[in-house]
Amino acid sequence: MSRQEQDQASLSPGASAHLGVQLRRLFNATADEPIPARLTDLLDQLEQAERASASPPAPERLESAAMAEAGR
Amino acid sequence: MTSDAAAPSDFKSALLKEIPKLRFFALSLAGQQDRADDLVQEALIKAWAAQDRFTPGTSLRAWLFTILRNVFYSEYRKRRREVPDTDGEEAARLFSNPEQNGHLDLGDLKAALATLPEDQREALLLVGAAGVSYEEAAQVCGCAVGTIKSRVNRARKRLLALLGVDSASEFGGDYLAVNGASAPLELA
Repeated sequence: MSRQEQDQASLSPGASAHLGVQLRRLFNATADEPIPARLTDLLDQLEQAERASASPPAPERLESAAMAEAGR
Repeated sequence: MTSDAAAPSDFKSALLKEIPKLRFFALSLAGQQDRADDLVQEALIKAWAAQDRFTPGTSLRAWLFTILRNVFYSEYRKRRREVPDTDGEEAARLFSNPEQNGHLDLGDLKAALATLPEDQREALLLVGAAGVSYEEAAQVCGCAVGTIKSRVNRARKRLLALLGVDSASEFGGDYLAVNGASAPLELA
């Protein structure tokens, strides 16, 4: 038995589960909040800036080109 | 299908999906939600600029967390030189966003977490709270998977001792309910 397994074995399953539930609650308190507008706005801006500077064709542009081809 | 101009890029959608976990990780590092969101904001800008360097098929989560962690430690070290901070102040700041303190009784857990060594707290919060895999956590922290496992185990044991939950007599109904459940929740 490795030291790690011994560490694991010495924790009672009930106590571990209890701690696990509390840690998940702590996580959910943040993770369940709506994403702040400043972060979604930032991503919108980054995306717009990227589209404005004529970078390599995005997949959807290829797609619409292919559709135009097919429509001929 | 929606109008073509409104379709978000794949990269943007992928980033959006990781934001809840990123915010939690940032909060665990920065202590306060507004500072944590500054950190997330900066990490997103860096990630966007470096998106060509992301290797498809690898973990975007681990990549983003690593960027955020680097942002934090480069700034944190700077700030530490400027304003010396005692452990007590650090501890008081951990998870100090007001929304969380109102309706959740997690004060004891937060206080106990604040006493953990930084590396153990980080490993436990990544794996045990945010549900990040051991492999991803190892990548983020720049160490071996075995090191993460041992940090998580040591952190758990220390927390359980601090919270007094390893002695059954100190448990209330909450413990019994959890313990009596047929499928105990895995701590991960």
